Amino acid sequence: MIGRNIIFRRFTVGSYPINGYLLADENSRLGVFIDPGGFSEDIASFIENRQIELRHIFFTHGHWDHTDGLPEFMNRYSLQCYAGKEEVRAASHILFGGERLNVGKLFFQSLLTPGHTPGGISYYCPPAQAVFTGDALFCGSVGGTTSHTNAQMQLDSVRQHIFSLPDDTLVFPAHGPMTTVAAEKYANPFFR
Amino acid sequence: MSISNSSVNNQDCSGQQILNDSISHIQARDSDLSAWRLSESSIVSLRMDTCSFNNTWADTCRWKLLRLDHSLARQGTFSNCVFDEFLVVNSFLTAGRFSGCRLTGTVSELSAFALSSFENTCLVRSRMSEVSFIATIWKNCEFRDEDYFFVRFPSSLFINTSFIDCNLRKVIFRWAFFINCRFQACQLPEAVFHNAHFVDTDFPKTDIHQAANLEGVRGLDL
Repeated sequence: MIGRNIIFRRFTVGSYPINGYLLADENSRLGVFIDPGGFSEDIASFIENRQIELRHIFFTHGHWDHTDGLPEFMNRYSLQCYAGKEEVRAASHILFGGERLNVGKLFFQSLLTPGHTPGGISYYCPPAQAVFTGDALFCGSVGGTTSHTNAQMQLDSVRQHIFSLPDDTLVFPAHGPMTTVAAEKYANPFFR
Repeated sequence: MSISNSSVNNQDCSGQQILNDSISHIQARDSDLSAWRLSESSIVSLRMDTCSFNNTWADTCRWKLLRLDHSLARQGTFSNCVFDEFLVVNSFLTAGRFSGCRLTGTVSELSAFALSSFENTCLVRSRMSEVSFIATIWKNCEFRDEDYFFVRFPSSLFINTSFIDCNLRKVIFRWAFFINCRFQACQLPEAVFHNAHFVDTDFPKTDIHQAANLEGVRGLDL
């Protein structure tokens, strides 16, 4: 769906359901799961059927609805975890924005998108022309913040790092439907 | 070239021309079905999983059981088409153009129709949840017996468009613009009309105060 030689699936995960995303390089079969808010047999079956070697977990931020499934993932797979500073205790790699993360021939750029949480990270995957925004940006909305300062920081970081991506970039938030950079940049009421 | 009764996997099936024909029972996975040209044809049970169906051009076609899962169907142009039992999940139908179409019994979840335009188009008995229609344009359209949950129309424009007997639960019309529209016998629990603008729009047998957010609404005597 989102680029050649990329395996991609969205799963609804967790007791407070969020979108969890699995991406894998079709050639090497190496894969990453973004926001393990829960685990399900659907995920296990998909990984097994598509012969994916799940190696990485990317967290957009550390709220429990995005992390609750981690123990089950860790029990089943040998994983490296990536998150922003002081977001997830289990993270073995701390991201500050600007890092390149390789998953086989797939690669991601980490984008610092704080506001909803201080160390929020979005993951841009150029080969897929897709960005995974967690709770920083939703379709027609944004994630909640605890202060006006944080709200402004969130809008600024999304403008700087997400809205500067190509217009036809697919946006996959942690909650609600997917969208595109163009739709959000030109029509999201929170950025008026 | 007939592709009826076929199963395609990881193939390039782009550029098909289907004119005055009937095709049926096609299952496609990880394949490219873009740039199809269809006219005066019938398409029954076309199922796509992880496919591209971009830049489709279809005129006067009847689609039954068109199913998209984890697929891209961007920049399609559909004129005078009938869609029965259209299923769209985890998919993008962005920047599409629908004119003179009728969609009956559509089911959609977690999908995006953003930046699309709809003209003289009727949606009947759809069930949609978590679907994005952000920045869409609706002119001379009708929504009838629609059942929506958390469907989002922010920054959309509605002209001469009616919602009749619709259940619009938690539907987001933030910054939407309505000109000469009608909400007739609709349910609006937890709907959001924040900063919506209404011109010559009425609400017969509809209680707009069911909405959760009417802040900043213009053009209505609330």
